[in-house]
Amino acid sequence: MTLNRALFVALLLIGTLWLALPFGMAILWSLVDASTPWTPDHILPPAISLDRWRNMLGNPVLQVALLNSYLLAPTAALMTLTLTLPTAYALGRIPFRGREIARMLTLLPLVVPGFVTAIFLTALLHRIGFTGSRFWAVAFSHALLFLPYAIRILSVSFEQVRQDHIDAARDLGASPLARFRVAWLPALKPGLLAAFLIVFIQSIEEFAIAFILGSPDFTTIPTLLYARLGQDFVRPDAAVLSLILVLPNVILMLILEQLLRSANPSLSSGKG
Amino acid sequence: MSGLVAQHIRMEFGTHTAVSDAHFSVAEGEFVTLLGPSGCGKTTLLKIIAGFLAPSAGRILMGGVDVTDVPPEARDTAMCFQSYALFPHLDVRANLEFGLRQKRVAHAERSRRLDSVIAQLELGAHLAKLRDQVRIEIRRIQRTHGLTALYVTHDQAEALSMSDRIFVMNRGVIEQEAAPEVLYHQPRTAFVADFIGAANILPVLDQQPLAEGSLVRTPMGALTMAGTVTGPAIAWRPERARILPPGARAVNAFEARITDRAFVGDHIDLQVEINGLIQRLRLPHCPQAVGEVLRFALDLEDILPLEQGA
Repeated sequence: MTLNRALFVALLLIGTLWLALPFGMAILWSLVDASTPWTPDHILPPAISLDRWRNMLGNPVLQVALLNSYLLAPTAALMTLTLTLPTAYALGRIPFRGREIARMLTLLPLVVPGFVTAIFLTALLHRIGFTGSRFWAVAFSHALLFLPYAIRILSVSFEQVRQDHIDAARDLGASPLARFRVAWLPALKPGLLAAFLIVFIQSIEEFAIAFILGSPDFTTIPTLLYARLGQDFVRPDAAVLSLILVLPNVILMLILEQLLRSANPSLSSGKG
Repeated sequence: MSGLVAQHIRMEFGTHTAVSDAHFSVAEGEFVTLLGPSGCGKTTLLKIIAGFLAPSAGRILMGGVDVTDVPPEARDTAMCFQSYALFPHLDVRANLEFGLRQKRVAHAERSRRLDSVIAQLELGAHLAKLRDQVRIEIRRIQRTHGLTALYVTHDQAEALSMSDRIFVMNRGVIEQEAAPEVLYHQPRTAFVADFIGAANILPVLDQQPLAEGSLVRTPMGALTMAGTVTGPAIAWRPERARILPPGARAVNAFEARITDRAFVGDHIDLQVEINGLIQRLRLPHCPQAVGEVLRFALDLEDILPLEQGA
């Protein structure tokens, strides 16, 4: 009992250090008034205002970046899902020799650093003569980059579709569409949503590809944020940008957590 | 589904033959059970009949129509899955409704049928939910609606109590198709004799015709039986042994030394040694202990002739 209590307190402390501290600092920094700088001799900012937020949100550069990021993320996520489905189906439902090896290979791209992928992907796009919009280049590259996550999640989802459900639906005379809706979709839905959200979140936060393929004309929130880290580094502005970047992702993460919980296999086992 | 005919069904998976030459018919309204150990091909055969597997050879006819190439969704069959295969995201009513929707039953008729079934389910929920009762219920519904039913199990008690006929399967072959009582009293092969009830199986070393019946020589000793045996073995059932009082004389009388004795409630299972051979006995009473000797006899009709099996 006391051990549990001690562990609980430890967990709270770690949680606080991990989350509350950086967040708290970011929030405090974002509120520093431009007139009086926050010097190390003050525990809290001497003057507080929402000026930074107003400036930032009123900044047309940020508005464009926000729009870009939040158009890019769902586009990349949908492209990833489209590219993933055939592979995930094969890995999840078709038994073939070397399936486990194929599964591992699909995860391998994750060990390559983003910048390396980005540099050579740019080269590749040049070589195949892609001259289309920066937006589509970045969206496609994001889709490619986050494919391993989606394949991993969805191949497990495809495995969880129960053959007896498909067979039962067929036996009752269901059309292919009805079969898909009653036997496939309920098992795939949590995986589809989870994969969508993971790619969405990753795309919002991704810097390397967005920077190399997109800059200077195409800006996203991370490229804007990193740009602020350069010569005219303004910590309060960076704090505002970080919060703009992170807050929606935290909310999306919480939704994802709920979805993964509802993907509990016991719910789809059929027996009570 | 009206009557069912399977013509020389064969199913091969690579080099493995799951079903070889299954050839039978099931009359309209008949309840037939496919009985056999796991891996005997019974489920494969069921899947072929429901349309989930295409046989390597042979035809399936339903109501006289060849349905071998008809997909399951277009076959007039209803399969009950061992796992129940209920859709977990749908409630009881929606699960029931799914099939009716696919069959394009009109809305009003659908509601009427669902209400009636759910009312019955609610009544049934108050009764004890024993597997026995599910069995009886399946049988009742099948009889009431004159359905042709094919049931797959490895549980012989279930098969014996439910079926009009049982097809005993072993290694992809139907070894015998007969009514439950016929299977028990006249098993065709050693496998059937052993699978349906218990049996002591003895190889036949030699046989001589008698004025009535014949005399067969086995490792247990000579036995007089009612008919003749054409196959390699005979069987006798452990529960058919008649205990002889001391000094009594009888045909097929044996002395048996008890090597193991297990009381299992309504009877006693014994392992006994007869002429150096271990055999099984099943007796309602047994005053003797392990190591002691008892005398028993077998009736002529209790010596069952067996044919060569698969």
